[in-house]
Amino acid sequence: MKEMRSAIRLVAVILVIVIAAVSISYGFIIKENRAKWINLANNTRVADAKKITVQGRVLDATGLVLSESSAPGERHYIQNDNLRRALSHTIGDQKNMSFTGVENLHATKLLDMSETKTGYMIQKLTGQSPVGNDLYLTVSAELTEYIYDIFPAWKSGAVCVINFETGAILSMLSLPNYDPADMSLEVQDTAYYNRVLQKRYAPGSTFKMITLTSALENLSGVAEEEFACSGIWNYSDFALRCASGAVHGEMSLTQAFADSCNVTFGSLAHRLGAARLKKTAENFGFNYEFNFEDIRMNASHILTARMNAEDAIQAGIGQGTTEVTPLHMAMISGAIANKGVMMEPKLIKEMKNAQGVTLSTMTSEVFKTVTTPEIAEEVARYMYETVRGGTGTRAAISGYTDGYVCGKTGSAEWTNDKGKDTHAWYTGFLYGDKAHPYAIAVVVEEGGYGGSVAAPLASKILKKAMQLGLY
Amino acid sequence: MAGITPEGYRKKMTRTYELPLLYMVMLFQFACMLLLAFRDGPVETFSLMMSVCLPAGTYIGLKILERFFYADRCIYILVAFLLSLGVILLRAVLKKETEASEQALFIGVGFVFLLIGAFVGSRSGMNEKFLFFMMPVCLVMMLLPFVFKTSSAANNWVRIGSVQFQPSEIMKPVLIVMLARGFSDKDGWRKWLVYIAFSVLACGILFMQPDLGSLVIFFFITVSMFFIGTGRWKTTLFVLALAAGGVGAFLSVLDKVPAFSYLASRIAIWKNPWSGEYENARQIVQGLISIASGGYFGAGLGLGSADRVAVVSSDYIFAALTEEFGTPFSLLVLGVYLLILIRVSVIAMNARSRYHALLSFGCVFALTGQMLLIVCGNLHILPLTGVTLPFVSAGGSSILASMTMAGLVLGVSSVNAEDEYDDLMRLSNGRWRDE
Repeated sequence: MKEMRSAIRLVAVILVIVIAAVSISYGFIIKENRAKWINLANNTRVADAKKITVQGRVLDATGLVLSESSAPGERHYIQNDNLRRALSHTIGDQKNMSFTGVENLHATKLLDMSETKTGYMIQKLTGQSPVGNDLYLTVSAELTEYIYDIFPAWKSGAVCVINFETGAILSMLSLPNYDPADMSLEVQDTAYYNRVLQKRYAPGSTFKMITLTSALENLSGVAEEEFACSGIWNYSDFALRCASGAVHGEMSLTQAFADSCNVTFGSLAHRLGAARLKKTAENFGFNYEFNFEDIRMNASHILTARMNAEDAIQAGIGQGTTEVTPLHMAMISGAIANKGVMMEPKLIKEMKNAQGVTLSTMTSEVFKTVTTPEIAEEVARYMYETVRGGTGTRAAISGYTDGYVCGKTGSAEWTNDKGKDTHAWYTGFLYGDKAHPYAIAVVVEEGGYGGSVAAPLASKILKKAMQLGLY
Repeated sequence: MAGITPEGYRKKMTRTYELPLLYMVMLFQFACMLLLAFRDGPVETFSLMMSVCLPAGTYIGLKILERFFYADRCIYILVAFLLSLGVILLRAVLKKETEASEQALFIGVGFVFLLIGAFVGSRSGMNEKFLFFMMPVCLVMMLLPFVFKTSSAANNWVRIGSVQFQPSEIMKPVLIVMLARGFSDKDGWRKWLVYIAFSVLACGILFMQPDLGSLVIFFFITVSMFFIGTGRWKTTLFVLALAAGGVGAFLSVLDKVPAFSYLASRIAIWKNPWSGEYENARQIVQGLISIASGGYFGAGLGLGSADRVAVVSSDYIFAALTEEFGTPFSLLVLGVYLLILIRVSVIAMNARSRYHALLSFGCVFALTGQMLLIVCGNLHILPLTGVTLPFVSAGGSSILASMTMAGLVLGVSSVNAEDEYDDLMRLSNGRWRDE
């Protein structure tokens, strides 16, 4: 019996310790995650809270009120029609149609749900509705409206501008759009979809940034090699051609990048092999479920299923099953400009309560380091050459001397139907300009060539952003 | 001055410190149910009725228990608190009152099981021949879910007509009674092996179902009772190490065997419930939101929205508890389980026979282990298993099994008290008095 008692004591003490450990970790888990979990977009308690709480305002970076409420359950949007439509995906809506917008994703903040149901008590006792928090965004309404104005008429597409040093999203535009003030209007069927965050496009030649990075990382001496292009490269039964029948002849790697030579980059991808290319791309955030605090972005994919040589070649020029969201593309450019450091995208600059007291402000966070500063600088140089004398010349900004305009164009095939135009891509950044650390990604769906359609758009947009003095 | 009678002894025990606890629990039951009866809308007759029935039931139950046993009242009161908490939560969270009223009904039936358990617990161990006869019967009963299949992914339920029950739940107290008998015998390996073989077969059936939550509980019950009964710590450690290795090996091949795809997806969901890739991950995410929504004071009884979590009434009742009453209160409920554990451990250590010590501790071990498993599942510390929170979760089988185990413990405490009384009488030559 004596041994039995000590055995019972031992097991009981172990159980007591486990219960204590669970209780303590329970406390820490709640402390750590409470705000995050409550603010999850799938918190269905929002609908209840909307009935009793006056939602806070949504404001842009300059303090312009984009939407506000004066009583529970109602919502007023800014009067200017163009502005409202341009920012529709950023603001979100009250019917939960565009679930990535601020009014949807951050509804729990606008409703100040962190103190659960005390609002209910306040209302019962005083008869006054509690008021939620105001959200100041990082986006500039004026820039977004400008992009909406100059975007090719009747085209679908996406544009985003970010500050690559802080990660702040300066503008997001997705077309077609909708009117949050009048949700009864009929819209095109993908209008509620925020293409910047949710649509995965084939990146086309813009992906050569990553192929180049991978080559510089893995193939020593590749920068000094000479390449030859006869316009077509037959790899087993698959023919790789350069865009619009170009024959680039003999050239350096810099020139091959600037002229966006498919043959050269296809063969580079072949030399790298699927595994190494995939690894570099994953360093840049491909095949990763993004879980950012401020935005909800779909994952970008590369080489997820098959990994044979042909797939590697296709991936090397951004075709095949490769797909990327526009914001991720801007982040990739930004990471190269930011010496290989990719910042976490931020949308909310500041949160204030109804009394105007600041509750939280934006803090820049490193998302990941994608490559070394040396290689990032090297890639930036190649991208500078692209704008100086390659496919991206129309992205140059006239009269701009504070830094270097760097970029990469892309004309992505997205269907087997040869009658359809390619998606026009441009992504780039301003290099070495402390006051204007912008990175940009532009997609014009069925726009044709990136160099002639997307690049000039980017030039105008970045110029406007500089005029507005955005940071 | 007459010597103390059993009546007098009982009186002495009644007079003491448990009464404030009893009254507090009764007040809690009354207040909660009254609050629910008069929330928005018309007065709920069920809740109004329960505001009287719960405290009255607790009180009358105690009186009936005292009539037959010298049971530990503290444990009874704490168990009654948890049971009524279940009814209160079910009524507060769910729109319909059917589950709450069924739960109340099961608790009523469960009280009979509690008395039966107390009766079994207060006797000495059962005839071994009878146990050997029962073993195959029990195994066949556990196989029933394969015959009477239900729709659920893990077939651990038996449905006959409109009656559903979970044999693995009912088996829990039976297993404990059997193992307590087997491992309390000092006969050595030949006898123990019979009981171990029985337990291994039962675990095998659970693995096939698959009902991993119950499997873990059964496994740990067996190991801990073996350790306490036989004191062979080297063997115990070896078995635990073997099990850990087995789990590791199992996890590494999990992805490759199509038969385990259900388990593989559960673990994948546990690892990353946020991606939205899995339909079932909704339950975990909603559960976490529910837990987080409680805050310090909770949403207020009946004001939470935990009904948005799938299977809130059994799997996620702890989340509902946190949301309605707040984090500190749910910690307090964990404290109630802790109190029961400590109290029963003392009873087990005071028991006069090896059988009774094993029996009482086996029961509290099962209850505590089950509680830890589901609370950790709710808090996303461990993958979610389908086990219930003892006494609180909805479900007839679970309530009956838990109450039987509570009854067994109370029975052992009653034996202790009687023995203690006998000792006192003997030591004082019958002159021991009530002071």
